Amino acid sequence: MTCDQARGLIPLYAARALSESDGAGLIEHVSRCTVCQTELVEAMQLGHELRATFGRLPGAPEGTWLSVAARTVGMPLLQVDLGSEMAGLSLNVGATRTGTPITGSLSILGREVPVLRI
Amino acid sequence: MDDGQLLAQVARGDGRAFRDLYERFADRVFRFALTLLRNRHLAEDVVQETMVAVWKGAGSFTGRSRVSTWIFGIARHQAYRALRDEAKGERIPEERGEEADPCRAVEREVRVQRAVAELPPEQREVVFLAFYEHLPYAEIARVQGVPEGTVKSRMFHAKKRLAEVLRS
Repeated sequence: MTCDQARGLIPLYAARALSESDGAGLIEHVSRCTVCQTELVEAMQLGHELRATFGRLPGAPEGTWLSVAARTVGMPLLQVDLGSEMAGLSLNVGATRTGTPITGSLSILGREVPVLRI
Repeated sequence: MDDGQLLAQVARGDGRAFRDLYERFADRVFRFALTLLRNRHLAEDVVQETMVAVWKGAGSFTGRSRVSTWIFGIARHQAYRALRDEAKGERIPEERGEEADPCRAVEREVRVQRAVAELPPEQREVVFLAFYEHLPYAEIARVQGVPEGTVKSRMFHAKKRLAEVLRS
């Protein structure tokens, strides 16, 4: 691997987005190239700081789901669940801008199958 | 259940699966939009529009990319639409950028935040998608709709700029 090739892979390695084989090739190169080694260390440090910075950004506000639900699956008006762990029936009635969708699903041994959508 | 299986259930109209998918992606899409737009209200709009588009378009997902690539592609489209609307004066953001709280953030972190905020939007996207979402260049290229080489170039310039700012 050349230094140019290594420099192309270093940001990906720092971002943890490099395949195992490419990662092994890069490490083999930096183990005998101090210039790329320094660049890799700097990139790893930058990657760590960027992940921490992005990770500290706030998440979506609490009420966002209700706005999305009102335009898609409907705000929950009624939910009925019947049955046991082996088999059950679930009925949901929602409210959207255009109506009140009713959905039902049947679950058997943990597998859920939609059976009703009005 | 992986993202693809969950999306397949959403395509069949399963509301619970959609809620689960929302829980997996809402915060990530919000942070992506916030990184691009630097405005919480616009970022929330992007989450709403993206998730509604996911509900309506789940059946059209072909599986040729990761689910996250598809969803971030939709979010990017919505974010740039918000930017265009803002430029046309249709929306007036209530806040300009995410200001760091000096009481809660250490100086270095504030510098990293500012350095990222000063990057051009396309470079900010690449940095977020690579370092936070761990997407490989090929997937980032799909999100941005550009050749992989362009993504590499954007990453090169972003990394160079960040290193310069953080070293100074």
